[in-house]
Amino acid sequence: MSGVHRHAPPAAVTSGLFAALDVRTRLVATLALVVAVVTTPRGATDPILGVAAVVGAIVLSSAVPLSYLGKRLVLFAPVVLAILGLAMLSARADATARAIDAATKASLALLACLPLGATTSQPELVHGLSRLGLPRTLVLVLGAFVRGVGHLGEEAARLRAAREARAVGGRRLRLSLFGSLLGVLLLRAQARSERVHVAMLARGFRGESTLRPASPLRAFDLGFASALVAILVSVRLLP
Amino acid sequence: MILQIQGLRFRYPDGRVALGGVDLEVGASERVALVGANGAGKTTILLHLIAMLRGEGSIVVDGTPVSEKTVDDVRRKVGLVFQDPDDQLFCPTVGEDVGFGPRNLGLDEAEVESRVHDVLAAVGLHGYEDREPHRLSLGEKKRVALAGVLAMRPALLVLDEPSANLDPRARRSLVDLLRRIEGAMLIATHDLDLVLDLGARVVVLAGGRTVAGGPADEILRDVAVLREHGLEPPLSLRALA
Repeated sequence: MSGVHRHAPPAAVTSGLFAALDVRTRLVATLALVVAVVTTPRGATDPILGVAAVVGAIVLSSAVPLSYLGKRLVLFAPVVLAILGLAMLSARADATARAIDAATKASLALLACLPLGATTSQPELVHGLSRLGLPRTLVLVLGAFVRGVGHLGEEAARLRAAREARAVGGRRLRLSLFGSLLGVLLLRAQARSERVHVAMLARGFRGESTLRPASPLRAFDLGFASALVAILVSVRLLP
Repeated sequence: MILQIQGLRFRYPDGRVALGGVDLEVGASERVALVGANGAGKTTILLHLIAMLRGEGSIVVDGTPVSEKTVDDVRRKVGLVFQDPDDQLFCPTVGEDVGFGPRNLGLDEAEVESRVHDVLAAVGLHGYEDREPHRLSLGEKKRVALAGVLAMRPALLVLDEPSANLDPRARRSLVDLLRRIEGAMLIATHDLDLVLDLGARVVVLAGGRTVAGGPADEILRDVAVLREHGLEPPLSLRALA
């Protein structure tokens, strides 16, 4: 096996306006976009069109490939169809309008999140949340979770390879074997977490997180965040 | 003397004897290799040095007896590098991971940054501060794990199987690095070529007891002793024979 772990994919996009921003600005901008989308009143056509235009501009400036956006929007299509389908079953007169509103906002909110997802790796995301002032213990737990999920994935892949290497003539996974593999996976995860904890204690860890303090934001980031919030507020105030 | 262990005994919860009375000393600036087959008790001794396990007997690190009351002090003095760097590296970036120990020591941020910069340069990873540890090669991960411990400036550097799973180039690079590090060092390993390369004094452990000890050149040529305790002479010496 290669020495390089593949469980935490790197950011898909490393160029463009969005990728150039500090991860904290990316998080705040995404949150602002989502809040603007979901708080726009139903039937307020101009504001929602305005917010959609801002989301579109951010997506375009982020240089996220259309294939990246397309795949994720296709994966989300069943949710949109389910919302619209449920509206058809409803007896309410405005059910269709409500469903279209919900589906539009859900799709826009997803679209608003995609530049963040494309430009930010998982560890960078945890790092950004830490620098935004998320409680340090929570950051530590989140960071350990991100790494733990990756390690679990690796262990699961190893178990799968070991099973398949000996599964001559019967590749179907029986329920009892699945339970056994799951048990082994959990035991390995527990053993790993204990070893990580011992290693933390060995370096003086006493239960309190001691992460690097946040560095100040650049003027570029502050300017971008201020401009975005100002535009979103103006758009939302449209009649 | 940096480390003095006298009569260390330890039983696992199931009653099995892991250590049956170990005596071991490491002098200032001395390199000692604790060698033995799997299950000989090497890692068990190392975990006693950071007070993760408590057996009977006496352990004194740089003048501090290891006890419940001295845990923090002892962990400042003993820098343990674990066998699997994935057990040790858990922060999102290399810089944060290397700074984890110094920040736990309560050092100010400027000092932490300075140490991180210096030790990364010392282990040949200058400029790796913002890299993600889990995306490094195994050799690089081992160097980061070592840097994380060196940044705490321990009185005793302890390495658990440092060359395990490394390819020849990464192993050679690690050996060169370890040779450059000054200060007391205790290495638990069954890689006897590594011991020879580092010129360490050898202590042979078997069945939880120290069964032989002496200069590497002498002990590692004693084929009978090595084979009796589940070891083989280093390849480099066999090639010369």
